[in-house]
Parts: sequence; structure tokens; C-alpha cells
Amino acid sequence: MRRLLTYLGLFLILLIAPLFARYTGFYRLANTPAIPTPPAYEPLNLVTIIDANAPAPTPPSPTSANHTGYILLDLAHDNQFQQQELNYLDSQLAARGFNFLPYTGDTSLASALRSVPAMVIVTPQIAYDETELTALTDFVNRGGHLFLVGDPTRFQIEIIEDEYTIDLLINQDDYPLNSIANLFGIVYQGDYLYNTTRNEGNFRHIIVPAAGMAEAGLTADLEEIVFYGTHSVAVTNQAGRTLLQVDDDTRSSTTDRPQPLALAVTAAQDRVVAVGDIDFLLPPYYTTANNTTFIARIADFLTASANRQWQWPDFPFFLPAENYFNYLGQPEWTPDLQQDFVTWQQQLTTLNKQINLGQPNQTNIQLGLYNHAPAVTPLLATHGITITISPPLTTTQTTSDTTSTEQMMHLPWAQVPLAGTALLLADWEANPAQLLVLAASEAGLDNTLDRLLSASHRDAPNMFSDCLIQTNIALCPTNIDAEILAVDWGGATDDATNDDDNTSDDDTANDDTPNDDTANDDTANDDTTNDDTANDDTATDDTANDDTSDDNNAGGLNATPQGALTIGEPVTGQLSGNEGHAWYLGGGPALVDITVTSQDDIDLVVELYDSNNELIRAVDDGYSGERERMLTVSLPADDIYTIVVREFFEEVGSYELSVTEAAVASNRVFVFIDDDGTPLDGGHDSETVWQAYFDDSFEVDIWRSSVDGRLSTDSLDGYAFVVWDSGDYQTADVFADEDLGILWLYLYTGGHLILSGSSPALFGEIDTAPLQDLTILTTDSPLTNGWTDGEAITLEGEWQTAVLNESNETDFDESAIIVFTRGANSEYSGETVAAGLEDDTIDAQIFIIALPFSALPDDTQTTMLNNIIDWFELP
Amino acid sequence: MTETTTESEQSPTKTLLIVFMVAILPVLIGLYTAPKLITEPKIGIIRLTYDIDSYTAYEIGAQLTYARQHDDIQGVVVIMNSPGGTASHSEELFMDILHTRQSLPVIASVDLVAASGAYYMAAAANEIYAKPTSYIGSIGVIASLPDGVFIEEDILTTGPYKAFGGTRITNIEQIETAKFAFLEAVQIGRGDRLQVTPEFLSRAEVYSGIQAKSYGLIDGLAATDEAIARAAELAGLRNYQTVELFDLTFPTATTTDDTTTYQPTIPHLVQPNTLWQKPYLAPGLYYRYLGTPVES
Repeated sequence: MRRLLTYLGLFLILLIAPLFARYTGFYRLANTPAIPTPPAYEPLNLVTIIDANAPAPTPPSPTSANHTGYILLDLAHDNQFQQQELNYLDSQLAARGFNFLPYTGDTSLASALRSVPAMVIVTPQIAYDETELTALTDFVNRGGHLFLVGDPTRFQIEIIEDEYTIDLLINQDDYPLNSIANLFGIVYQGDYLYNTTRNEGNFRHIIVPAAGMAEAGLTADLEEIVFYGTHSVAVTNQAGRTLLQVDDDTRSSTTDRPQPLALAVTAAQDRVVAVGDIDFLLPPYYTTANNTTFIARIADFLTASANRQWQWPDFPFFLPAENYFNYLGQPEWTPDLQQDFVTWQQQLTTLNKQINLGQPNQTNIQLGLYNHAPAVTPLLATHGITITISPPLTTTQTTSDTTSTEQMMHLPWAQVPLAGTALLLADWEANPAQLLVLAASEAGLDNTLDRLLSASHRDAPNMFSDCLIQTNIALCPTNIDAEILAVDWGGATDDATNDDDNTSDDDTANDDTPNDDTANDDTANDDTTNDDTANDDTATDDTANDDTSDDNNAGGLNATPQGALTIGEPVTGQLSGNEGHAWYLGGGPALVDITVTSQDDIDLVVELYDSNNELIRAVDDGYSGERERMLTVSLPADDIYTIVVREFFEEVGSYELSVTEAAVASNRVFVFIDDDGTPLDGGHDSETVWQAYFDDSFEVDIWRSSVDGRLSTDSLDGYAFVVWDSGDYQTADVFADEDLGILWLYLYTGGHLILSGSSPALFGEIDTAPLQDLTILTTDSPLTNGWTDGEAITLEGEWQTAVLNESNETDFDESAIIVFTRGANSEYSGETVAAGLEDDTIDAQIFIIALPFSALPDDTQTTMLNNIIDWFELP
Repeated sequence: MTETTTESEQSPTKTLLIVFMVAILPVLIGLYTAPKLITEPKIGIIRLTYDIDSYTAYEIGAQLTYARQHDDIQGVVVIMNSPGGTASHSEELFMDILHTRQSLPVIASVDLVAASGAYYMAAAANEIYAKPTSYIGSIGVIASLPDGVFIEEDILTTGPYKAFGGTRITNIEQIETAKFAFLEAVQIGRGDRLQVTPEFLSRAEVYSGIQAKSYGLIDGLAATDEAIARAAELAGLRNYQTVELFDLTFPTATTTDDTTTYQPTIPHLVQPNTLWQKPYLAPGLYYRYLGTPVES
């Protein structure tokens, strides 16, 4: 039994041994770590930003005076926001009687700033140019308020497109807002601020506690302001200060270290406020903390205009909302005066300003003659002005000879003759602001009133650029030649007596305009129509409203008026898309060259119109990036001409426009001997003929292609006309001929050309036939002077010449002036040999003669050339 | 004379029979039954490649379930190459790993990157190992905010935010709440090993493996083999096999380009170009590191 148990025990041991061995082969028997119990996961942090049961904050009442007006809102610099995003700020402005006035760049910024107390600039992506920066600096220096809004989340996205793909490039490197901010010592850092310790629901939502707020009207008694993704903003000069400063836990993304950081600053004696975030102005963020109140304070800041310092170009915006007007001397209320007043009244109404007739003791706007100055002596004396008319006028002067009299205006800084100069005196410190306008004559006063009317547009350019301005006094030319002082209203010194030399052109829309000397801009031009109306005894319906409608259309030319041009003074413009620019050029008769140079890679089109908007000439020769030129353009009469510049593909870009006196010398002739083709009759040209004919009265430059080589693009500039003589040579491939390309360009700029040769160069390789005689066809054109119709001309020898007919695709239309046809003894009798062609659009003239010119008899050569010169009507 | 035999004198046959029955037979039986009774322990390998989304959550969840249900799987190593993904699926995997840890050790071995939601998942593991330059961290939430609300004439809803889900403010609150949940998950998972504050982590930076080690975000710098060995150690194994749990869980899976119907696909080795592709972020919360690939 024992043995059996032993066997059994052994059996079991040996049975388990493999199992044990296997187990211990896989598993450790000791030091096996216990698997720890995993932790419980029960996150409970609930974040609450806004208590839904708390009432929404209400903004404080406006603190500014009860004004009405506009706040300029920049939309012209690819600003990265939508105007409706600022609806809450807009509502706060509206509560104060103001609205946003979008600035789209159609007019100069200086003009746009005249009418507003403040400007708002939000996240621009195009830097401001020097002119705009100057205007903004001047605006702020004179008390205007500027609100700058940057934001790290509003950047420019550039679309990069190639044949197959479109990529979006986020451009965060440039920060165009700094082009303005830097003017006032403000710098937007290219960072964003974050706070991972204390924030408004997110690390980039920065809480500014009361301790971080400067003592300022904008932040008085506020407890907390929250910005939602903000740049830091630094102010670097002593005229600025930090408005909102963050706590020590807030970091800048560029440094990640504790440092004093501001997210709002002021500069220029608190006239400029710069913030680093737009979102706090937007829903729903304006409802958090004290943001609502802060925005209301910003609205107060924008609408406060108490410190605005005015100057004359700001006219009429320094006038109060309600004005009373009076003519000095109580003239008879004639239709002319009535029309002047009504026009002005209507115009000011569009600017939210009322003007009414008032009694002398309640007026703030007074117009009169210098002879009425005693009535306003106290006002004049206040500004140190004395008017001297000695001896006193007793009758209407009939001459401008004032050598024996003293008719002077004594100013603190000068003495100025009264004749020819209007005095404009504004007292914008007075309440209400006072305006006094004096001139020597009714016509002079009329022109001065026109000037004021022209300035009474919201976007009018500076209408006082030709005036001598000293603070609140402007001395402006009346543009009346030999102006004679009038004694009183309705005297003999009427328009006819005082009008300048343009009296005979009274209806040509440039008469009497105050800016005649500077080649009227659009407003002046438009208003001239009113002027005519005002001077017209039969008042028409031509009202100021018509002027307004024309402001952006330049009389139906679909172009935005840009202003006046002066010969010799280039101007620049920035075309934006589908707009055209209209520039006004006064003067004539004259010959001018008009050149428009693309400063960006744009395809320009240039059009020239007369004062009736009839197209004189148009040019579109160049490709993108190339200049367009009209050379030797004739301005036939003293008139207002309109030059319209467009972009063919309606793309954006800038250009320079210059009008110069034509460089053409009327006695210079360029003769091109095109002798590198295939000779048809052994090689022949007419150089000796040209030399002999032109030598006496012209300065001739001969260019022989086989010797002198290729022309350059400006080889033909400055010549009265060009002779292109291919003799008996024929050019096979006219499209590959670079010289002919130069000739085409010359023609497109309005050139004059004599094209002579057996196979005229422009026609290429066409069929020819023997020619031995010609028949003359006479017309009333100067080209056929001295000949008899049907007269035959026998050539010296027989010539193989081009047949100009339909089968050769060289026939001419009815406008061609046919001079010679093939004679009865020649093949293709009756087909054209010589003709004059005119293209009114490009103002080009071409005389074609399919014959070596020297083949003509000598007397025929002389007559023909005399006739051609007459036909060209060279200046 | 009578022939007698003593009891001690057994026949050789009987002796041999006894030896066989007592010594050899049990050994043979033991050798035969031991593999059947004691299977070779295995360390299961799970691979997380690319984004965490409903597919990866399902596939990895199934593999973890398989590991829990099969006794031969004594430990799990998750090899990670992921920038994270949808928040809820990351949380699903986090909780799934916590559940698995109740029965067997789970080790996370970071290959290229375990960022954001992937780190969220890894934080639930017993231990995390990475390479010196692996990307670790990006602890935070990303989401897009809704646009402004509006109403339409022909669509009637029963609440002002039925069509939009909520206001921008409530979305911000949800995002921030999710951030705190993430931070808390890291704190729970890492416990005392964490050497930095939640405020520090909330900067949501991505750290190298070396930095992550010093911050306590991982337990060591180790190759995958070492991570597997650590899993075996935690499981008390002396010898073991490593098995791809995907192959066991989805034995019929094949590589396929068929995108019309879902079927598990064998995890590829990670392709960096695919890994760093910009994701399309539909509305919702994401634990996702976007990365900034170097422009060529």
C-alpha cells in the first residue's frame, strides 16, 4: 500500500512537472507587480462666460453735443472687414446723430476729410501713400480724431493661381496699418496676446482689469474690458500714452515672456486712439464686461468735434447747420441773384446745412462789393483789414486805369489791389461761424460765389489752391481781366463790361470760372453750367443737382472726374477696376502730345473729347505695361477738353498722364528710303527728288535702310511728316519688317505719311503690272489743286507697279481721295495709282502713290508735293 | 529442491511496467497536456496610425476588447503615430484603455508623434515611452465657431439655436470646458509623475520626447522592443510572443482601396506625408495637432 502511494505521488509529481516547467518558463514566480487599479475619470470643470439670466448691458447716454454728420470709414485699402460688422458702433454713432461715410478712394482723402470730425481705419491691407499720410497728419493736427483698429486675425489672403492649382497665401508679414500708426508714434506689433491663467474663456481673450486702465475719459469708472484676440500696441513718443495695459500673466506671442504690454494707446494729445482688436466691437463680444460702455465712449470720442481747427479748403463744413445770408447793400432781388442763392441753398442742403435769408443783424454769411465794405468795417477791423477806396466812387468806373486813385485792401501782412481779387473772410471761432465775401464787381463776386459753390460738394477738391490764404483770410482771383470797381448792384459794371476775354465764348462752358488759370477741374467745369444759368436771364432747369449727378460720370463719359491738367505737369492716377478717369485740360488752340505711362502692368486706353464730349481721338496701341501716346494733337480752340484714361481689362493699376507741348517741328521731314527689298525695275529710289524739293523750306533727315539699319521706336518722333519711299523695291513679308512696325506706331499717334513706291511698303508682295501713263481725277480736295480733271500724264519710261484694286485687296473706300489712276495706255486702266487717306480716329493722314515718285514729270512732282503739304495742314 | 522467489524479486517486465506507469507516463501526459493547459503568453501590439476618428476608435476598441477577452494576451503595447483627431473618439480610446488596464497592462510606445487626442489616449496607459525626438503634447482643443444666427421663413425650429447648436459664447465655453477635461485626463493618467502645471500644459505646445520626459509626460525614452519588454515585465512574463492584435481581431481584413463600404484595413507603416495632411475639420471639437510642414 505504501508503495502504491509512493508510486501515485511520484506519478503526480512527474505529471505536474512539465506543467510547472512550462509555466515557470513563461511566468515569473516572484516579484510580479500587481496591476494597479486605473484612476477614475470624472472631469467637472465647467466654464461659464456669460450668465444667460443677467440683463444685457446698456450703453451710457451720449456725452457729445447734439451734432449731426458723418464719420469717415476707410474702405479703400483692402480693409479686412465688412461694414456691417461695425453695426454696434454704428448704432452708437447714430445715437449721437452721426453715420459712417464710406471712403472708397474715388476722391482724394484730403477732400473726404473736410466734412468729418473723425475717421475710422480698420485693418487695411494696402499701405497709405504719401499724399494720404499727409492728409491724415494734417487732419489730426487740426483737431480731427482718428480711430485705428488692428487685429491679428484679419490678414491678407493672397490667391496664387497657376495652370492647375490655386493656393492661398496668408500674408502676415506686412502690416499696412503701421504706415499710419507710425506717424503718431504708434506701433502695432505683429503678435497676439494670450493669457493661460486668467482669461475670458480662452487664452486669447484678454481681460483688462481696472488696474490696467489709464485715467482717461474713455475708461473712466470701467471695471473690466475684454479683447478677443488682440495685437499689442506700443506708443513711442511723449505725445502718446497707454490706455489699456494687460496684467503680468499676459504674454505676447513674439516673446512669451512677462513684459508691460498695451492693447490700446492714444497719441497726438488723445486725438488718435489705436486698439489691437476688432472683435470687442462685434457681436456678441461687445456685450461682455464693460465693452458696451467702452464702445459708447469711443463713439463719443469720434463725434466730439469741439477742437477741430478749420481752414479754407474745409469750406463749407465749418459753417453751422443753420445759416442766415444777406447781400450787403440790399440789392434788388434780381433773377440772377435769386438763382445764385437758390443754387447755393440747394447745394448746402445736400450737406445737411440750411441757409436762409436773414436780416443784416442776424446774418452770418454776407456777400457784397468792396464799395459796401463800410457796412462790415467792425468785422474787417477785428481781423486787421482796411478797405481803402479813394476818392470814393460816385459813378461807375469806366476804365481800369486806377493810377490816380487808391483802391487797396490793407491787410496785416500785405496791401492788395481790390480789382481782380476777392476777399473771403471766415471767422470760424465765432458762434455761429461768420463768412464775408467781397469783390470789386458783380461779375467778380459771381465768380467767387461759383468757387464757393464748387467747394460745396462733399468730395470737392481744394477749390482754394489758387488763393493766397493766411489763416482765415483767403484772397482769390476773380478771373476778371481789368476788373473795374462797381459802385453798387446793377450798375454799368455788368457782366459784359467786366467779362474777361472769353465773353464771346459765353456758352462754351468755361467762361467766368474761377479756376480758368488752372484749367478747370470737373467741379468748376460743371458749375460753369450753373454760372451760365445764373447769368442767363431765362433761368433754366440746370440745377446743382445736375452737378452732383455728373460728379462721378464726367458728363456721360463713364469716367470719374479727377481734376484739372496743366500742360507740362504730369499727374498720376490709380485705376480701380472698371472705372475710367476723366482729366480736364483747358486752353487752345495748341498742338500737344499726350502720353500715358502704365506704372503697373496694365493695358491703358486713352480718349480725348471736346467740351461737347465728342470724341476727338482715341489710342490703344500698346500692350499691358506699355505707354500710350497721342502725338501732335490739335486742340483747335480755347476750350475745356477731357482726357479719359481707362484700363482695357478693367484691372487695377496706376498710371502717369502728361500733356506736353507737341515736340513736332513743323519744318522737319523724315525720309525713309526702304531699299532692302526686291527691286522690280533694277533698283531705284527718289532720294534726290525729296532732297531737292524739301531742301529749301524743310529740315530733311534721310534714312536709308540698307545703310543705316533698323529704326528705333522714337526715330519718327518730332517730325512734321514722314516720307516712306520704297522706290521700285518690294518688301515681301511686311509683318516681319520691324521698320514698318515703327511706321504703324507713328501713324497710330496721329502721323502724316507720304508712301511712295512701285509696291508701297505697307502692302507687301502684291501683283504688279506695267504702267506708263496716268489720268488725273480732280476733287475739291487740296490734293488736286492745279490740275484739270481727266488730264493725262505720261511717265518717263514704263514701270512695273502695284495694281491697287479689289483683287489685290488694296482697293480704297469712298472716303479716299483718288488723285491718279492708271492711264488709258496702261494695263488695268482706271485702277488707282495715288490717293489720300484720312483716319479721323487716330488723326492720321496717308498719301499713297504706287509709283516711284521720280517717275513723275518734274512739274507734276512739284505740284503733287505742294498739294500734299497743303492737305496735311501742317501747323 | 523447491524453487522459490522473493517478493523483491519482480519480473523485469513488471518492473518496466511500473517504471513506465509511474515515471514515464505522467511525464508524457504532462508534456502532452501542458501546452493545452498553459498557453504561451502574448503581448498584443496595437497600432494607431493617422487621425483618431470613428474608424480608428472602432478598430482599436475591438483590439482592446480582444485582448481583454483572451487570456493568452497578457499585455498590450500601443504603437502610436497620430496627431489626434475628434475629441469624443479620443476620449473613447482613453476610457477604453483605462478599462483594459483593469485586467492587463497597457503600454504606449510613441513612434513619430502622439499629439493632442493621441496623447489623450496615451495618458490612460500604465506607462508611456517615446523616442528622443518624438512629438508629444499639444494638449488642447481646436474647433471652429459658428457664424451668426439667422432665421429662415420656410424652416421652423423649436428653439433659437436648434439650427446652429449654440452661440459663439457657448461654443467658447464648451471648448474651454473640453480643454479642462483634457488637462484633467492627463493629470489622472500621469498622476504624481507629471512635473508641470496645468497652466503650462494649456499652452498646448508640442514637446520632443526628451522634453516630455523631463516634464513627466512620458515615463522613458525607449524603443518599441523595450516598451514591449516593459509590458511583459508588468505582466510578469518571462517568455512571451508578440502578436499583432489587428490580425487576430480582423483575420479577414485586407488592404483595399474600396471607400464605399467600410472594412478594416491592415494598418500601414506610417507615411509622413499622409500623417501631416491638413485635416478637414467638420463642426465639432477636436483634439488635433495641425502641424506645420516645412514648405518645399
